[in-house]
Amino acid sequence: MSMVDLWFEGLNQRTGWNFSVIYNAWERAKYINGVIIAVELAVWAFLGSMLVGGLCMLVRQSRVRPLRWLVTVYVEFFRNTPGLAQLYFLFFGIGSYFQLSTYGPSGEPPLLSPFQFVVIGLSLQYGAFVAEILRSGIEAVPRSTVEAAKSLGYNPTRALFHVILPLAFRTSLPALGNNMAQIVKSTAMAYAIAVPEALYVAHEIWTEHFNVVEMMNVVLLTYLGLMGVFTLIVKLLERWLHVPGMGR
Amino acid sequence: MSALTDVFAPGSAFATLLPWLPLVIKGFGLNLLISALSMVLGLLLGVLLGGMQMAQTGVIRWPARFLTLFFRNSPWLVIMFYVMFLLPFEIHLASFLVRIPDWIKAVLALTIPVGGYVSEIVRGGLKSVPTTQWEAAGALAFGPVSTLLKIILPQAVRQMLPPTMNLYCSVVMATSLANIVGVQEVMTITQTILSTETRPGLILPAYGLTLVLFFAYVFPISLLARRLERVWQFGAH
Repeated sequence: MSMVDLWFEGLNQRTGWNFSVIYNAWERAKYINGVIIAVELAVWAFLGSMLVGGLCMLVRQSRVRPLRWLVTVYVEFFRNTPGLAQLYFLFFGIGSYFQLSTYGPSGEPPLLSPFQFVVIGLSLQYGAFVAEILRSGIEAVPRSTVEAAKSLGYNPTRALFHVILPLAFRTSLPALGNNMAQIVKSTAMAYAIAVPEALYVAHEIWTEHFNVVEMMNVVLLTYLGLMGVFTLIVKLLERWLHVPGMGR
Repeated sequence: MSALTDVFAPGSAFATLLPWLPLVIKGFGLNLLISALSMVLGLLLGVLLGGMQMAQTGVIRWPARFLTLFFRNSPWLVIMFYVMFLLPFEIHLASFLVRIPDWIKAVLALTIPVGGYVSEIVRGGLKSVPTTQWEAAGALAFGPVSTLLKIILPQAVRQMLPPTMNLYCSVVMATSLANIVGVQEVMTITQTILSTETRPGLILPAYGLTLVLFFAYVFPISLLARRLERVWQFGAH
């Protein structure tokens, strides 16, 4: 037992502030695992949303109008409905209808775990936001740049990948960073379908020890810490991809 | 045609859901009430914080900056838990026992992040007005308060209204989080209906209905916000 553990146990005996998550090795391991799951959710959902948003962006460049409408319908629907309702619809609705989240009639395990459902749900929700961010990034590329690319003999596809997207991606970075922050906060939603992430584990701990106040503060600090780390990563990425001569 | 009549035929999913519709709408009404109240309170908190963020003295500015960042960066759901579990469910006022219904606590919980976001909107809006406007108003002998009210705010409002409307959309959508802590809002009611009507085929349309309700309310507002943003941007240049 380390000094820190002893101090927190002493604190519990002296004042009644019970930070069991720090001195109880079993609960500490469980909580750290919860934080790791929250991070994993955030990273997978971020990658998923970039994939979905990128696909939407590509489809929007196509000349087939119904395809573009389809993307618009998807984007508007997922941007204007609550993430939790989407998650319930996916998990309880689609999941049970197609038997993805429930046990089969002869006891086959579910095809997708709650973790995977949250990743899919967040990817779809934030993919819609990413699609909008990338679109405004593309709109921010000056027309003259696009025309210059064309006059240099780039065909539309090459101009998109070699000229427009690299610039659009850089202008989109701050907004994508905000999006990442939203995703980190939204992972707490996984609590609703019993994914053992930080909030869920905290709930388990405080139902056992009745230390709601202490655990709520630990959870809050955990999320603020996670947000800090992710914001820092985005800041570094922005500096690394900075276009000379644009902005400060 | 037969497909259409099948949908509404007795015993179909829609026919089963139809009698529940008034209850669902009532639940959604609670969502709207929560969103409206927390938006109003959040605006008050946010304008206060935003104004303090623009203060000249650091003693006022830094606490406001800290609180704004703190409120913005905490997950809504965690704040919801925080307020739900840490506020008492009844208060003793002299000899009276005042019960606090859980939806009031949901309002207070949503007020906190809304205040943080409004604070940043206010700060951004005030900053979008050129410094020369402040100086010109000062030269024309406007006091600090009347400069703010008569010169700066009318210009800043164009910058602030569209993001505030978008924030309201987020708040409406966030009211569904109250479901997790047991408030009788539309999602909770949907769950209750689903546990009463034990029909597996009902789950999909029932949750679909809540999605449609939210979309029907939120989408027009976000469209209007987008239009205002575009119109006012062009007007400014």
